[in-house]
Amino acid sequence: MSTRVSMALQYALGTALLLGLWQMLGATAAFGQTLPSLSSVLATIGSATERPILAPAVGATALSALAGLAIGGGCAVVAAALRYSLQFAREGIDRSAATVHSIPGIGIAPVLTLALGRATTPIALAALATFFPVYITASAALGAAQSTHQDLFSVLGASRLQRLRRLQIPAAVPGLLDALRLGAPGAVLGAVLGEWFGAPRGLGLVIISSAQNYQIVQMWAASLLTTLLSVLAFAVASALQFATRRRFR
Amino acid sequence: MNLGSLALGVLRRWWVVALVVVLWEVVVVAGRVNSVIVPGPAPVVGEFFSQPIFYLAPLGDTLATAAVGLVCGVCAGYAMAACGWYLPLLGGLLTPLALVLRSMPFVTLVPVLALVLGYGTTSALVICSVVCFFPTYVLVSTGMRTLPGGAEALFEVAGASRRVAFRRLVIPASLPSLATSIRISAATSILAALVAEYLMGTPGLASLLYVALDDLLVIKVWTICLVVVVVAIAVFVATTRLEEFVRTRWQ
Repeated sequence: MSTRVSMALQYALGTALLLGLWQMLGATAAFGQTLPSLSSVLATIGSATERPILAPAVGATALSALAGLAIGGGCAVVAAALRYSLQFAREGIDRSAATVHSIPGIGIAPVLTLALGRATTPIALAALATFFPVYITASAALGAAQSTHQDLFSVLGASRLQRLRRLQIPAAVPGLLDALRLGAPGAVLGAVLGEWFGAPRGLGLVIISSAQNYQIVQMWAASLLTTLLSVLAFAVASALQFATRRRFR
Repeated sequence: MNLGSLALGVLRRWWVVALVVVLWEVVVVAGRVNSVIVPGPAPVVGEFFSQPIFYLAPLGDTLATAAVGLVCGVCAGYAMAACGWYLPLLGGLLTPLALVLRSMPFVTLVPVLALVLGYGTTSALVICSVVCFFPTYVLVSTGMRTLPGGAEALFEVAGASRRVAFRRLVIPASLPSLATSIRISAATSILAALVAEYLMGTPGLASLLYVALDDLLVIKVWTICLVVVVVAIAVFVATTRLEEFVRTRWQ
């Protein structure tokens, strides 16, 4: 428990340091106009003119990230289950998952834009970004059931499917939530990257268009909101994991 | 016989890649998509070989940016982690900062960094370095803290100076985590170089992509993307090999 508290303290301290540094550099105009202070960015987020632009953008990005997380995470769990049941395909699936992961999002975003359309690209990239971390953790999680329990199931004559449903899936839940925790920030990142390629709405679009129009404070506001969204995704997944820890231990 | 088993081995490892190419061809041939928008694998590869220099020269620019950024970022990250080991007070001060920075989506901050640093080749380099710096710092300082059990005490009892302990104990112990951070940073560095080029228009594969996308030169877009994917996979395989080698040698 004390490591948890000290961890939380370190996070809080780090955040405070970073925000303090930002405020100081911005207030003294160390980088000129390009680095506005934190307080002016926060004021912009709250202002009546910017809120109608930023709020729907946050919603759109969150929705894309969530859809991508569901699709990418779902595919990853299916792939991990296939890997678990098909021994001979294991090496191939492992290698291709890693290969998929090594492809930079910006490298395929234009092709996705052409093939799937501008509005679907953020979801697809979010799904791609989620796939690998979820696949790796889910593969480990499926093997998490204790071998003595596995033996018991075998002795009692359970079929593979029964064993999967009654033993391996419940035993894998904490690991799968761990996967969610790792995948969620990646999904936000993927969604924003996808929105750079002409998506009709979202935080990525706001970042790009404010950069092109030299709307510096708006751009910082959108970037800050992106970071907050990805931190929030991480926090929600962590809370979910913590809440279910007792049930599935 | 030997050639056959080799082919089988390659196929066992890469069958999904082969499957993707076959599926791509089938989808195009079946005419479920407009072949103007989605060309098949053969025309894309053909386009590349019809004018390889057109693609390879910008690829060189991109790889140079990514490589220089990788070297600078990894060296700076390693040096910073070493400073943290030498001066525990500094390490204690930097650890919470590193924890927070690790969860930040850095690639989405590229436009912000570009704005602060100004548009140009130098800021593309700085962006790649920054993106490589953080994973290296975090991983290497963890590696420097998880020394083999009792080793540090042994060095102290035997009267080794901090400097000797660093050279004989900490450096070898940190090499596996350095290799891991190179593998992670290399992929991120290429991504960051491409994003920086795409947003700032500095010469490279991504600025070529920007032009091709703007003029709707579909076959060029596909070819550039294919080049990026192949290069990324090659870098991934090479860095994974490096990591495996370092891990078997120093762990």
